[in-house]
Amino acid sequence: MFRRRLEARGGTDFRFHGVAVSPGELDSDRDDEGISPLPRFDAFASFLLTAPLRSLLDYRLIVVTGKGGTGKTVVACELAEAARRAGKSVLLIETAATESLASLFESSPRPLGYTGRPLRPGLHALHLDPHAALADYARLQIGLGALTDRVLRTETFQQLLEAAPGWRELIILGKIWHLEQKTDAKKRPLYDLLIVDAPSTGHGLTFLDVPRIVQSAVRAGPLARHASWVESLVHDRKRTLMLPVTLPEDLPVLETKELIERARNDIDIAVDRIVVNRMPGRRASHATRDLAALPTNLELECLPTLPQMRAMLEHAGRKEELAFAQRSRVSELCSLPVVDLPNRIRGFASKSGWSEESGAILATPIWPDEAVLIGPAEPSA
Amino acid sequence: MNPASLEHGLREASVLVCAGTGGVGKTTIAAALALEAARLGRRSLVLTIDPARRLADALGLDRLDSTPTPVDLSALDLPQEACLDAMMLDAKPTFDRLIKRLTPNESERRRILDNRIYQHLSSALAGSAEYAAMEQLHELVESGKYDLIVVDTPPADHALDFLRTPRRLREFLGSRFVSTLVRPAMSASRIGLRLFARPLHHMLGLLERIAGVGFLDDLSEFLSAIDGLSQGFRDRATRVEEVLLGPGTGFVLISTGDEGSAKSTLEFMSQLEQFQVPLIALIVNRMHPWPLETRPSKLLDRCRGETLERDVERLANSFTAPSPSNETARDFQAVVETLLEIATVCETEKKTVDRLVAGLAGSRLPCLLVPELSDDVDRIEGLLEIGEILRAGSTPASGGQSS
Repeated sequence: MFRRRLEARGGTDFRFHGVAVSPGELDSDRDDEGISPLPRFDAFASFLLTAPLRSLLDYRLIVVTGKGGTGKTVVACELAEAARRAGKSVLLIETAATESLASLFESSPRPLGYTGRPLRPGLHALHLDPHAALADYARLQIGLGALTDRVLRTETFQQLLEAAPGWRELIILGKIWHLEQKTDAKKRPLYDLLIVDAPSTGHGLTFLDVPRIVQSAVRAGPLARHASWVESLVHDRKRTLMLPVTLPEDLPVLETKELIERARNDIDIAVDRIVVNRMPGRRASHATRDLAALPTNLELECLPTLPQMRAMLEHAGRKEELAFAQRSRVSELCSLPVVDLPNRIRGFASKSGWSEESGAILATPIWPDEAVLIGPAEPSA
Repeated sequence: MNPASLEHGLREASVLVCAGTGGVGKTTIAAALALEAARLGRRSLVLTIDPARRLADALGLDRLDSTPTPVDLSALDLPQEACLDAMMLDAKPTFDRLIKRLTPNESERRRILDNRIYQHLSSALAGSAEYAAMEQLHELVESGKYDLIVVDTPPADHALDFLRTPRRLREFLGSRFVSTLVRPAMSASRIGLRLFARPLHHMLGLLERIAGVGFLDDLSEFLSAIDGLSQGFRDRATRVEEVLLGPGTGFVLISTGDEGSAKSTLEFMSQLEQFQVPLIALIVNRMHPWPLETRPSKLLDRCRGETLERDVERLANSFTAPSPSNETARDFQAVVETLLEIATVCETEKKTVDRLVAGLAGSRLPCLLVPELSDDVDRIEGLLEIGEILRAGSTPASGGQSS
């Protein structure tokens, strides 16, 4: 069974732990949904894949990606908190246009800003504003301080920036590269782990692909050189990992499959697990089962009647079954193990409790049971 | 669009834009709206931004691509004239078509299509999807083939980009930067740059030092190649803006009952106001169904303390008549906790909806609630069901059925 699963995995030009693996034969079969699974692997690759996964804490740079609404920011924060608790010095980088990350740590947060500030001991967070990063870059490159600033502020230049696509992504990645290189007085890296809350999927991948695009558009000069440095960081399987976040729902699962295909085929960045966020347990299903054994004419003081209770559970029960099926499906489609994060009903708004539970993100990834792919949930009576 | 109502929009508008944060079900709602308009006898089209495979499945299409494909509605009980097409945005071919349309001269056209900057602008980089979306929309509106086009937009962070696109393009093409680079003397030699105003000179110098010498040549060539087109571009950009903010367009804002999503929706709403966007409805999607008559808060108030303990005991006792083991008692504790959690979720959602409705106050916009369907919407009947809910559930802006 395990063997079959391994054989079903694959990816062209897929490397594992820095070892290049030749692609196996392409799988032309399509599953019942008309989506072909990723290409098959050869036996050698299967052997390599049995090696245990590295801990997330062993990477230098983790880029948290996913479709909008999957809870990327929350996952990035959990990972940062878990790493900090494990004794790492962590830099958490927010890239969205509006800041929201600090509100998970503080009830009335001040803005993080470009230089950022420590949110907890061992956890520094910053908001990477592309305009500030560009000014920073220009100053470093040209060294003309005030004059450069003036040029950057001219209306014409602002118009050019407004219209020019892609520079935001490049400059943000460039800055991340720069931060990764930073060392302290003793020449040791300033941060053990950098965690990036990337833009949502479509743009998130373009974000990682920009250095390559820039290099093909720009032939020479510092920009091309810098883009190549940034690109090699993206490709470095020792240092860099992409951590996709999905929900156990149909569309996020399909998007995740596409995201991982592109990560493997176009970007060439390491991906070794999928985070399935808001994964429910089977509580409603169990509750329905327990209630089913009771007589319907039961007299109760405050609870609703039994049929009413069953009606309340019906929807949640079906969602649970669907979630388990989707979790198996995403693992199967992407040939990757999953890490579950629970559905925290009261959410993070309360700001209590979540940081103690942040360790869940570091759990060893699992292969979901080889359950049926997707199928209609059992209708409850 | 006056009066602001979804139904009026479906009957009269020529463009409906579905906007909202990520993960709220925009694409599905967009498709349901287009289908609903088709049901009303309008020739409608749904234009999606993402390759939504599931939507293609739901519509019975092999795949969505950049040409409009008719959806087979014959199996449904719809009026004869109902007609729905679906398509997906693809930036590159849209740009290429635009260049072809604006450049009748063959060699001129090749010069642009082969320019490296053009190739990257048109296909690879973020932001180009928004340009293409605008262009695509314009093409479709001009074609006159459709009575209504329903547009799905990228997630909210970028939806404003979508709105800014025509203006941005127009301003850029009219800017001094462009006119400097495309002046014949300029494009031939960079020495001429010295003649220009100092800030601009510095800026070009800066660009060149960062990007390398070849880049400026490429850019200059690209810009002079499209210079002849810039009037055409500008005209189109102006017209797209007119369409987008004009009387024939309605915006539908989509949210969920989730607190985070509602917060972004409220922010988004105020941003849209600045653009003077004609908002016609707010849809709160994926509401958890609440099957009881009593509001969840009432149930939560009632079920506590000793009364609740006695009920749990009753449940446990009637489960195993002979001797209730401790374990069953604990089980029913869990059952009751699950029930109360569901009530809490529903209550939080209702409060969130109240907040959204309060945010709409004054605008008299309708707020429509769509329950989360138990199964994924993977058949066209699911889309019809959503359409029906939207048609029927036009709750007054007082916040729904709560008592």
